[in-house]
Amino acid sequence: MPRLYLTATVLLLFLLEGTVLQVLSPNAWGLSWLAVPRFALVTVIILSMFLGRREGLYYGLGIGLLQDVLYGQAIGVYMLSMMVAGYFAGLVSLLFHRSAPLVFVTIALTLFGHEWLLYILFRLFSTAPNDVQWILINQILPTVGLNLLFAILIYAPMRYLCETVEKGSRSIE
Amino acid sequence: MSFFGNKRLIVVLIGLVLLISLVGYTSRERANLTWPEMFLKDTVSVLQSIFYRPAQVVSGLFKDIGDAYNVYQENRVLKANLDQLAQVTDELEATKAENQRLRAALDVKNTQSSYQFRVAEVIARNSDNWNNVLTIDKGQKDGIKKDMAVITPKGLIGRVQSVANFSATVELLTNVENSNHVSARILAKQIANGKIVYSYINGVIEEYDPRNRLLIMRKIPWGQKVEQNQSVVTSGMGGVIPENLSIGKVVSVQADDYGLTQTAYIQPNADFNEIDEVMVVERAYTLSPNGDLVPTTQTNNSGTPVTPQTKSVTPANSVPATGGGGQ
Repeated sequence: MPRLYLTATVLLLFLLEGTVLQVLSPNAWGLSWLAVPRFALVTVIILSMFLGRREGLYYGLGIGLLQDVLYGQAIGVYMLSMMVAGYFAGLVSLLFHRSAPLVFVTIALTLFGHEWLLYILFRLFSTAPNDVQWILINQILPTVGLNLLFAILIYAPMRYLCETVEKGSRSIE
Repeated sequence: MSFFGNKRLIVVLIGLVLLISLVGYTSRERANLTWPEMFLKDTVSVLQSIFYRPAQVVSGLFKDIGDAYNVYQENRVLKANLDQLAQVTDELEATKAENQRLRAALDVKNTQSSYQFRVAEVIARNSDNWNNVLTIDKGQKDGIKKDMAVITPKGLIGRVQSVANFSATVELLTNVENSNHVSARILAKQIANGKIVYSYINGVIEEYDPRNRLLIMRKIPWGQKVEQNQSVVTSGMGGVIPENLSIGKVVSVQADDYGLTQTAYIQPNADFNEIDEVMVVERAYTLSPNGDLVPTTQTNNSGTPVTPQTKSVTPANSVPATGGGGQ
């Protein structure tokens, strides 16, 4: 049952990204920079740190596939980037002590790396690359900032949810 | 031997190869979606529509409150425009009548500019800049086909990228990955020997510049004089986009890299940020391979609930919308 709640949370956040959060996006209010909400990815990164890198990989794969099929032309771009992001976060928490400041540093770094990986992949496939510096300042940094804020908000509930999932799976064994 | 013994490495490598081949296979322009894709899109679009409408309503409420403050000023400007509009409409009617008379005299029957449209609601939008797409709530079952033009009352916004059964994906003109080239023309008005001469200058809208938020129109013949503030509309050449859909206004012109053609920067008329309702446009006549104009068959949407929304629009009706977008 806790597992169902966790999956539902991730899916709900994914749906909100494309619908409700569009209304709140800075672009809609006429600003030049763009902060992309990647709230589903944030939850995937957090759960990967608590439940292990393999879980992060699977959830990242699922969310990436959804993103690709619904909004993209080529299937596999987001799948790869989100899978890598989920796995990487789990790997880092395996190597270091899992304390709150370290968790947020990992989230920020993973999000930053994820945006760069996306930029690289799209630059590879797209014929019209943008100026790197402009992308960095107007898109990547605001995106990391916004999602880090969201991560701080959701950290405690997600931690609770992950711990109940862990407890549940242990009691089954 | 330890390399082959490492099972995990093999699995990862095979996975990577499969993934890359999947990207390579799907990144091409595809005629149709596969059924799992259609199923997923339709299912999620139902869920998305539950969220998007209320969000739009709440956001619209805040906008309305903001608008209420400058109603007086706006009303004065609108009244002034309305007086002008009556005159423009009369002029247009007269021109239309004359056009019809001349057409009859020349025995030209069909025009490429008559079209019909279907109204669709936006139910989701991608949040990042890499794939600038919308999802709308009409699909194959409502007669939407790939590559149809999509407009708002202000002007052209994009084309249908892919169609599922009950939903469709619209690629906006602002997409970075530029696979949608729109054949367009600039409506030029020049004064030569004391007479006003109207002419078309053709070109292709190829790209979007996200920094300045301008569309880039290329392949404009050298020697044609393009000026600021001239209107840009679709040319109706090629594909299924009808003639004379409003696109935008010219902001600046420069020579291209090789000095053979000109490049114009165009301010789009449509607002790409707030799109809640769009119209999917189907040309009433398409060009057959022989070069004849053939009426588009309407077998798909006859008998579906969409039919009442399908309207026939003459060029005269579409032009006031163009004027409204410009002001």
